Amino acid sequence: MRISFSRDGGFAGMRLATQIDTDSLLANDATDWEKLIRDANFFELPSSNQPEMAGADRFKYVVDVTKGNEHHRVEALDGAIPPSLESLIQQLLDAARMSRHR
Amino acid sequence: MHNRAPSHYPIQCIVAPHILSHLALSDDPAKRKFALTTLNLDHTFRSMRLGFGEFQRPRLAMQRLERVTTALPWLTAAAQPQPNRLINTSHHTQRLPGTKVRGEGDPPTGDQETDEAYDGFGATWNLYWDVFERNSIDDQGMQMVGNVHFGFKYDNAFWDGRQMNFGDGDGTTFNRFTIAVDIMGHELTHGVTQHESNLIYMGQTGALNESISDVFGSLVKQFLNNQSAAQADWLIGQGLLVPVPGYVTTALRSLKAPGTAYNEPSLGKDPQPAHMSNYVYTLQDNGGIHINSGIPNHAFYLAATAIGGNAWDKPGAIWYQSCVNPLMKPTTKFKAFASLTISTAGQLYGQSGMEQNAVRNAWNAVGINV
Repeated sequence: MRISFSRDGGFAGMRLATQIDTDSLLANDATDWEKLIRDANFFELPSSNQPEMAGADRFKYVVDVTKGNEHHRVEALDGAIPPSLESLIQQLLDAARMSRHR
Repeated sequence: MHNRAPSHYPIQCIVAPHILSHLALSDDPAKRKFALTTLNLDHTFRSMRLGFGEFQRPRLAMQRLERVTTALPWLTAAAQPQPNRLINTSHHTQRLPGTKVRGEGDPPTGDQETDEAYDGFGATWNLYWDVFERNSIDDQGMQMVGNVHFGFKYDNAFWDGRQMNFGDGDGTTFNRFTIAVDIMGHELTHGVTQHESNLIYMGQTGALNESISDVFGSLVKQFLNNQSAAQADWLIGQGLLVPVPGYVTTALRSLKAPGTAYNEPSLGKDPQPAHMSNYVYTLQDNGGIHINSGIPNHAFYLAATAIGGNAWDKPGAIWYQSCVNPLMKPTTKFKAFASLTISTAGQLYGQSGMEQNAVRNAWNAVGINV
């Protein structure tokens, strides 16, 4: 399973991104990611999740997952993140931060 | 939306001054407020002394004047607008509304983020009222609501269309987002822009929207600290980045020197350009709106330092009057805005004046030729 994640925008306008290929991970880590995707009900989520008012300096999160023949891309802005996606996003942010601090 | 001329109350000519002074001492707050806003006392005192019928008896006239004068300070205070602040906590979630922690007039809570947000809103309100006679975000005394401790390790602050939300930072790369007063100024100014030109938040119009928030955010800091344009540091988000020994983490952005605010291993280098020839074309960040804002930011810095004095005075007036001009549209780009600031400078301070030349030269220097 391949997960592509990015967060951009925000007050600082900086980008945080990471790619995860579960085939190249240890079995336990791969299982953890698969569980997060399942618990998020990811493939059922709306593709676009926009807040009622545009506002300014919101983060924009993009999660793109390919699992076998299945593919889905979910985009969400601060204030409109589907509740089931929150946990997955936190984990992806931590992974992205880890890869940032080389 | 507001071409704000100096105070002019035609009703003064219709309602005799002695009626106004009587109303100013009324028990009815509405009558007092009416009298105060129409009673231009200096002018009226002089008019009275010139001899309206009733005031040909000087002693009586002076007694009346004294009564109104002694009442004036508290009456003036009652009629002056005040900030209206509400700080909530979101308990480290993204749930809104949060729980109230500090309302207007409440004492400091001891929670750093709460008290910094409260003070930062006050400083922003003060700039807009004291300098530009704008009463809060909507110029109608709108309550300024801030949610602190928003999200978990949330390294951001944003305006959501109604209120501001502040994260505590992740503690590794970013500190709390209430740490610099210009951040509060920046976010509240997004509200002002929403109520005025409502610049679309992408591409070049979005970069202009961002720049306006940085410019007025910087003015909030300069006005609070009484710094002239020459004394100001022109930084946005000073102290926001966690220091990395041996690297630059001064601030997030610099209007004085775009591209120099930070340079450290995990974030890379400040990508802001200072000139149109280095405009960044990207799909990220809504078309690089936080990057290309460096260009109009730098134009303001150049204009302000060329004009001299305090940046909130003439340069601030030129920028503010441009921002609230009905000619500003949601689709206004750099060049049209530059043109507007140049013509505004001419209207305010004289065609071909030092100020207008400084503004034109500033835009030319960043590659916008008007």
